[in-house]
Amino acid sequence: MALIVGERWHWLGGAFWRRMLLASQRLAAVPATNAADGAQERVAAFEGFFHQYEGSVFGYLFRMTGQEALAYDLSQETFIRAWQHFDTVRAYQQPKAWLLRVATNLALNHLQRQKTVANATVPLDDETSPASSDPTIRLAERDLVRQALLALIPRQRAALVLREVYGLPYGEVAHMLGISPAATRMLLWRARDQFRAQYLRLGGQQP
Amino acid sequence: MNQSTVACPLNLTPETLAAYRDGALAAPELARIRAHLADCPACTVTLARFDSLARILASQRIPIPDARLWRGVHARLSLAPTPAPHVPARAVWGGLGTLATLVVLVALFVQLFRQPASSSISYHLTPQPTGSAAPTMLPPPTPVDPTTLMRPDQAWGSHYITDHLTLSAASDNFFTPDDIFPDGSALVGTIFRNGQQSVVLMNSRTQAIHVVYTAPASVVTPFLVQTDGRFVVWDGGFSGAGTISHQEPKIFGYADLQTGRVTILSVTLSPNQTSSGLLLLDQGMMLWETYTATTSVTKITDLATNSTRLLPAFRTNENIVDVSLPYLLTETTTGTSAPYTMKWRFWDLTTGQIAPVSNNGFGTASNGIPNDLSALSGKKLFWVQPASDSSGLLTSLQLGVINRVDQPWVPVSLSPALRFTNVDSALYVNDRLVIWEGRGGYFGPVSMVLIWDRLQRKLLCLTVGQNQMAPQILARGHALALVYGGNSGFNRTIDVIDTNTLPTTPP
Repeated sequence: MALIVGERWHWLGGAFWRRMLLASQRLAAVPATNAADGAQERVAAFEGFFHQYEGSVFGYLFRMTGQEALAYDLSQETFIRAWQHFDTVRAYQQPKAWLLRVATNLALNHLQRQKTVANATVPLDDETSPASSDPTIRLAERDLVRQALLALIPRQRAALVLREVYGLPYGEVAHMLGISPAATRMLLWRARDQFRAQYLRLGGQQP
Repeated sequence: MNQSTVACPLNLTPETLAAYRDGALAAPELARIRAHLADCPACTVTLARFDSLARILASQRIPIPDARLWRGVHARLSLAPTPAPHVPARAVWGGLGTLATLVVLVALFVQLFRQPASSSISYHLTPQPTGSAAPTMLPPPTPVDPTTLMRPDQAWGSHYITDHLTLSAASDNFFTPDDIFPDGSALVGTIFRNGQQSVVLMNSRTQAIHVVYTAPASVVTPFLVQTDGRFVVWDGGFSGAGTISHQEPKIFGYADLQTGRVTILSVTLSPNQTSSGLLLLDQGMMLWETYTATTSVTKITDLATNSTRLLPAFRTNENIVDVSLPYLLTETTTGTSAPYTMKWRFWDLTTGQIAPVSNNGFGTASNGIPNDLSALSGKKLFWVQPASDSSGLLTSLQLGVINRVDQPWVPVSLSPALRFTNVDSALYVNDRLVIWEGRGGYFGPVSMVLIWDRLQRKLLCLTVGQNQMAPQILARGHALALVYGGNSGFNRTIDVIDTNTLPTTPP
């Protein structure tokens, strides 16, 4: 096995490279100030912001990926982006839309490249899960939603979830996915049609 | 949706009603349908079905994130820079520092990649057997049918993997590969380290990482990094400076590896434009689009001269399927319910001429999405459509290859032993191989990578361990990379295969 871990920086004067990088980064770094209190306040404010939106972001990414571990990773990435733009983002009227947009970017980028498939480890039913708000839907059917969603191509899935679960306006969905409104109309329609077909195929009850 | 038992007097399709529900219709059409709905039981039923679908979607069981999420985020906050507008001096120093970083990086970059114009990269692979750890394989039960099953530890797994890389979050700082050099000598992607997102190259052999561009904190995320061996392009995402107003600048960038020059393209959208996106890099040409409310404007930028030309507004309601310069393939779909009828048109981007393709039956698909299950290579369109038996197992794949009108299918039969159940949404074509993904497996669902060797006319099958994600596939020129891992965060292994070293006769 040609493992060369740890030798990365020895290649072609890598040590020199790294020193230069570190030096340039030190140039960019800010000297430590006595603003520690301010920093702590910022982190505290960000924690509040985080808890306000973590459910939405994580839920969206779980719907997009079908995998808890991946949803954790991508949620973390989304909130790190939010931290980098915190002052701007928290001033928005709808920070959630911004977060969902970043999450969509990250998820589509990941899924379109990674072509994630669902694994079969998630139990079909879970006695401890909270009761459905809709008594007509059996517990076991709710995992069918996950499977049916994952059968869609990622863009369809994103469009359908953003529109139907998160209630984003149609124009916003087009913008988030970076596609034309005409293409969004077709994408949303196909997503609904495919979702319904997959849901029925998996044994879901006729909607 | 199913046709209602009661007919709609206006013959409104479910697609139109869905558009009505989404607020996607123009005002006159909207008013007409609103007036009609009061008297049409059929349309009322259809709309109620949409409501029902929405309830089903909302009922999905979602795990509640626990404290791990905040701990993970919190641990990284100290690493991630955050602009602090209330301390202006910091911004100035930060800006100067970033500039200094950029200057240093560009200078180093120029030095690194200065070389004769004929060669785009300074290092090359020498294929050699490596005996690397192959992905977990579930041996299929015998017998097998004409499909050639290749165990990864035989033809592919060891002898033809030229490089085997192991990345971990700790040592490689979240390197996310996006594309591979046509000769396999390097991967390109992004890396997150010291709180900043950078576009990087990674040498396939040594794993040395070279930073191409580090995004300033004001740009949300460079992604979709692509390379043709000389240029590296990326979609820098949006600036993050505006609200979601549809009018914020979009940032693209590219680097010329011969000169080391990094160019940033900031696209400021006019009020009626909604978005912009990167489509493809091929042979030094970058293809990208800007959308308005009703049309898409496709642009080609010659990166060597930094000159951009607009393609004529040649399409409405046509989606771009794939590009393989100088050809572009678009698709229009008709029909409001599966099976849809799809029509393709080839465009020659050098002349702007169209060559319509008649669809020889392959254009109708109930479960195939052409955007993902097809790929263009030159003027050949590859298209995979599965056929299944009554138990839901896939028995064959129809590999459509079109390079002239009415070209027949290439049938690819699947071994029942594979217990193949799904073709997933991926298709990649390089000079020799057609690669896609599926699922199946005798002992439960296993991700598979299926490789159709056009030279040998053989189907090769790599299976990935149970409960593992399918590998990410990167294919360019004669290089193929399979990126494994991801379930457990950012630990990954990458196998790089030089397809020129594959045998041309069956082993």
